[in-house]
Amino acid sequence: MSIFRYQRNERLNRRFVFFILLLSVLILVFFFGPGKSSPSFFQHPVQFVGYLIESAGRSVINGVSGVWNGYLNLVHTQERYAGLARDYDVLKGENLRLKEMEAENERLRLLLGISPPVPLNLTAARVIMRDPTNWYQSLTIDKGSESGILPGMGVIAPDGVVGRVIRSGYKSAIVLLAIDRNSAVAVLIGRTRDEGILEGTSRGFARIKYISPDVKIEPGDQILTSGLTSTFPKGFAVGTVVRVARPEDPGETGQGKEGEPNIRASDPFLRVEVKPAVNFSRVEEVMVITSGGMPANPEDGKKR
Amino acid sequence: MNRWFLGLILVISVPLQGLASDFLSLNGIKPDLGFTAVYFSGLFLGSGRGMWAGFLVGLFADSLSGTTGLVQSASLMVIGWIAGEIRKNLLNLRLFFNSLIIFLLSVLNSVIIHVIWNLHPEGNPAAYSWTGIIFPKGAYDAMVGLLIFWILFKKYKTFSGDLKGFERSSLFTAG
Repeated sequence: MSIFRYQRNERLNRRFVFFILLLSVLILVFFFGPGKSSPSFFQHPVQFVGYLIESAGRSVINGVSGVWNGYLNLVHTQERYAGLARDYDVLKGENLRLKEMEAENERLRLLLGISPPVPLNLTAARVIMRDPTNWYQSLTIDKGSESGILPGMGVIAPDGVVGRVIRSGYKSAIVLLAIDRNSAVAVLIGRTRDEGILEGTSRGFARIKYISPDVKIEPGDQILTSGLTSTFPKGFAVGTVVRVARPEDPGETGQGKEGEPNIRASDPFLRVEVKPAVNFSRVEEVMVITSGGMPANPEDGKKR
Repeated sequence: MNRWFLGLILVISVPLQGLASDFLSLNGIKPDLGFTAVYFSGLFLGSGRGMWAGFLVGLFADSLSGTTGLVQSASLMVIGWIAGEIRKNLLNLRLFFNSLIIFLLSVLNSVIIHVIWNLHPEGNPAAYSWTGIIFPKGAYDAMVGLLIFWILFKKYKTFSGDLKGFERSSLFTAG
């Protein structure tokens, strides 16, 4: 008899604890909330522990790959050196030409009275981890609030825009990639100068919203940052147009694949798919734009 | 292997997945090592500790992934609890039946995450696609679970009854 009562009590007790715990977590979920940009009090230490584990793991991986690259992968070094020497000569000439153009640009800017943009302050950081889940497209970098990195700052790589910082811990920060569906970047089409908003999708590519059907956009057009927001200065490469769907195009109307409806005849905008300039799976070092890029005084940017 | 080793696996599973995502990723889909670790914790240690394991791993996943919140903590707690209940109620868990259960629980985990996100008034939606993410991820998790189960099965011979090095959870017993 007492055994049965003990078992019944045990079962009730466990169920009670389970529901209390689940309820408390759900309350925490809704209280701290998805979508809040700042980490909550318990996420700071957890993120820091994660940073320590990631850094240790990254050191091991770098050590092993360093041995591989340093000693074993020397097969094509001579050919690569010759190729790089040729590139160096070409780039040296191009550099001289660009310096000349920059000086000319500076003179013209003075003549027209246009103020130069504030120089960018960049902080270099290393990518130590990619998003552990399949739900978001993000990176963890090895610099955080200790280095002046704050949520909302833009992140770039040599090839172009990477994303923006969404959470900053003491020694690490999380960067939401431009291809995440929660990301939005103000962009313009390089050739036509029309503006739009670049958003990520569930399927790993990006698309531009709010492009009027009148715009003569074509596959191959370069997409640049428009500089209308403080996150990114104007002119950074974002990607290349790979597909343009117009409402009148045959085969473009109707329901598309799961969660990605095709363009409808009644849609007021074009559907423009963009291949990002940065290969996000290979990016290892990034620069965080900590300040600069916009004219110091908006009035200075106007023609006098 | 003892409970401390399992605890270590739980702690490193999420960062490990982030570090090794380039190697683990198949056509852009990564297996959820944290989920798998929670499932086996529940299976080994019972529903109470499985639930705690789910909370711990979920906390890591929430803190290290793209958004804040405790969405994955909540969903993995449920998974840890269910895994513990499976251990109590199913004897002689077989290799492929175990994989089928992992597949179903992985899909359930994804559904819980998306339900919470969609219910939340300020939630930024997570990427979702049944055929693009949820089912392939479930299949990948099942494959990883099959491998882990096979290794553990070789070591411990059976999953029915108590396992060496693990005691029945006393955390939530009466008295």
